[in-house]
Amino acid sequence: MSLQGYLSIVLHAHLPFIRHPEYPDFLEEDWLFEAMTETYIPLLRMMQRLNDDHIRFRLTMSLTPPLCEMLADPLLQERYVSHIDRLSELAELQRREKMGTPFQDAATAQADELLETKRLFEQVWNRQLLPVFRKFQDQGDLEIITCGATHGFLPLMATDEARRAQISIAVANYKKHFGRAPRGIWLPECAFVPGIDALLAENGISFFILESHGLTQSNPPARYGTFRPVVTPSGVAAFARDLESSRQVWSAEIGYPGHPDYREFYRDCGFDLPYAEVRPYLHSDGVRRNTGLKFFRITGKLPLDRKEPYVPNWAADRAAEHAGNFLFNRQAQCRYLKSVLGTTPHITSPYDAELYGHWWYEGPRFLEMLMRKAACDQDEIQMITPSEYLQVETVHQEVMPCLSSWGANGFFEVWLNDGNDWIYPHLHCAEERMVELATRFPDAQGDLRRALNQAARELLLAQASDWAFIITTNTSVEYAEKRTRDHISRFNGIYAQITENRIEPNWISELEWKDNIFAEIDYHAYSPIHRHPHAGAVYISKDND
Amino acid sequence: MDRSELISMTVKALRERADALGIKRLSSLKKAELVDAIIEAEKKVASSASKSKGSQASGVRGKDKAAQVEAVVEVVEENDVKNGKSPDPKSDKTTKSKQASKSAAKNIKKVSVDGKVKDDVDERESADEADEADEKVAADALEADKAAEEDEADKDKDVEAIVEKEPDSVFIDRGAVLPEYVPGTCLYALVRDPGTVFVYWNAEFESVHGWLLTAYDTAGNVLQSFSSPAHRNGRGYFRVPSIRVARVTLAKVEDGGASRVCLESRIRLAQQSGLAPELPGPGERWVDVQNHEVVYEAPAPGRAPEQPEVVQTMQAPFVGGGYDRSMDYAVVDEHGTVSTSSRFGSLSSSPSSDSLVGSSHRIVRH
Repeated sequence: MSLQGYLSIVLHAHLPFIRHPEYPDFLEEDWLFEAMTETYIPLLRMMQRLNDDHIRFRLTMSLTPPLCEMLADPLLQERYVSHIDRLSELAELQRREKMGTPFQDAATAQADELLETKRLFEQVWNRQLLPVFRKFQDQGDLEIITCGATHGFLPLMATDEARRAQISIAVANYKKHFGRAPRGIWLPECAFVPGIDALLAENGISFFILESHGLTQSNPPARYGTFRPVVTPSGVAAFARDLESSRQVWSAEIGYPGHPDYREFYRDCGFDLPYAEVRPYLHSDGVRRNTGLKFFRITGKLPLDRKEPYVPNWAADRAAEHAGNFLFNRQAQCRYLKSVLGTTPHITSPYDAELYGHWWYEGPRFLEMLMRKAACDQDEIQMITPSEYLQVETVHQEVMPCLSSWGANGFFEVWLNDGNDWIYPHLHCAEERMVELATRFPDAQGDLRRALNQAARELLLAQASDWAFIITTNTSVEYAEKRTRDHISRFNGIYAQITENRIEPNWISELEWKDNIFAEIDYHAYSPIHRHPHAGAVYISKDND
Repeated sequence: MDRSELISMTVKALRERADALGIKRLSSLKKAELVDAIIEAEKKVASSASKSKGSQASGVRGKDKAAQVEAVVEVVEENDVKNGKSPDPKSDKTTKSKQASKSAAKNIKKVSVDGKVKDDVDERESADEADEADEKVAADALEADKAAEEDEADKDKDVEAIVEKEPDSVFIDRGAVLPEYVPGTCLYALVRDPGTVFVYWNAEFESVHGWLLTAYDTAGNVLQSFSSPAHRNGRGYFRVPSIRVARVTLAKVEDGGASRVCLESRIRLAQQSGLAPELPGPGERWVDVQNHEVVYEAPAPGRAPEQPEVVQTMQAPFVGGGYDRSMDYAVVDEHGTVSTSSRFGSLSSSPSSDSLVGSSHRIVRH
């Protein structure tokens, strides 16, 4: 059968900047290490296997600037080696302990996996993951897009200067890591308000990913809904999320990751093993935590103590079956859409990258099988990246999408509610002060320039949407509050030193050492934008003048 | 294999068997401990192999005797490290990981009653020497059995103590203390969702009689109004259709109940939401993004071509440092009907006017 539709799988890989050189051992750095072990490296291994088999796949990934900075950081690389060493050691102990038990296969598979991860990371990739991603991008199989510099929630910023800085600094960082400008962006939390598109266009971005109702409630209505991208009046394309394919993976009720054969995320060795046995693999505080080694399968809706042993072969078969089902459903979906729309539809399926591998252990296997089946078993669906699609289809409807995000209820309440709204007055004050500093010191040099650049870093780090999100979800609230308070406090301290002309170079050096994100930063990113004279309103773009 | 068979085996043979069963820290186990550990490990294997859900679960989650032995052995081994003894070269753990757990070992030791762990070490050292003789003298095996039982009872106590000592919370650093209020005078309004606008303000001057916070639509009509106590700052949520909110003002309530606008929001709201406005939107338009040309353009449905663009209608009237107070007395709903209004506008027409999310103690509906 002929081509019935296009499919873009987009994975959003992001973690906040969680680097703590001031401590020898820091719990939250595990977020990165777990994601590396369970998601980023498995995805790279998947791409390598496809590449080795000469299968041309198409995948789009956003690698956010904080994540890129952490993956390229020597200290975190060193700590990851220690982490994977310890984890491999525990896995080996478990391999031996579980021998002859129903958990033998699970323990063996996971120990082998970790050994291979360790070997690749240290011996093959020389601890550098970004060049491996870049290689697949240069081959044309992977499209890497950027995100806000620190995943700041753009619609809730007070000034356009701060929004623009989030984008321009991200673009500069992307160029540093990938050697060219990004074509697309994953807006932090897919949060959009009209006006952001103009800032994207200003920074050379061609497309962004949008939540479904950003298009379905747009003005004027998008003729093809989410099944074709649109362009905004600024000329930037918006690819909106397809709900049907999302639900098949995301849904807790009907989604693939909930199948009984898949590995149970919540049953972890860190809580199962006798304390003395697991203690050497915990952090120095000695509190039991997930280790990443899990030997049970989901089994069903049962209490954790009634889960059954994980069988890797069953799970692998199930992932292949689900990949086939996903592709079958996309074929059916596209056939139907093409018949009713009269155009070849484009399906955008965006997901958190960490869903694949970290939360859904078999996720990378699912993706690999999907890529293989799409490339070898059919010709109805063409896997494509958004950039490629914009080359294939050049005529698009011009639409201004509306207020939207991919958070709960579709708007901004996850990041703005009674629990976290105390953040915003401080952030807005810092934004205005940063713009003020950039205006006052257009040509700073020496320590003043360092101080200004560090002020920009502290503001950016405080703006990460992760902190407000964590406070709302009530997970690591203390840490999120600490990070917000610390960065704002550091910013205020620098501001005071600059304005009172008493810069302490040693303190600035200490902050540069602690919060070393974006070595290339230039505080001029906060230079003022023309403001509209009416009522002190901040003008969004010249298009609205 | 029963206990008597195991006792008859040499220590070397026992260690080989224990190793095959995945038992750790073999070199530091006495013969009797080895025997116990093997018996328990064999039971565990048999139990797991039975494929009973319950037994599988309890086998992993429960602290069986083999695990208890291992737990105590590990405590002792940590103690060895602390006392400067070389770690067992056959141990699977690296020195690094042991060092990492040193501090925890200290904690664990503290809970051992009356130096019991130290006693165990001493006993183990002397018992190790006696083990060779045990192989030849059967009577010694019985003695070792007895000693093992005593040890096991002690170990149970130790394991319980260890488990009790397992920390469940840690020191939490909540970060730097921020000033309660930001400096300067400001009023900000952020669209949170189609039905809510978040507003906060900070004023460097007092308002003896309190504040009046008002949201206006694009035509200057009052949508929602709140009075607030005389604090210099506050924050809260307007429950209004945010597409209609063009601006928010903060007015100082003066003697006699009159109010004077001091601040106007820094963000133009209606433009930001981008939701379908009350007026018809523009017509359908298709562009070629590569050649930068319009390939199709349809007129807006139900709108005369000369009608101004939606964005332009969103400019709220604003005159100098104040505004026309008469707006407060005329409220026009979405159908253009002028309704009866209170002094500060009609408050009950908003979708969720009965609730106020957020810091309601700081903003009181007027």
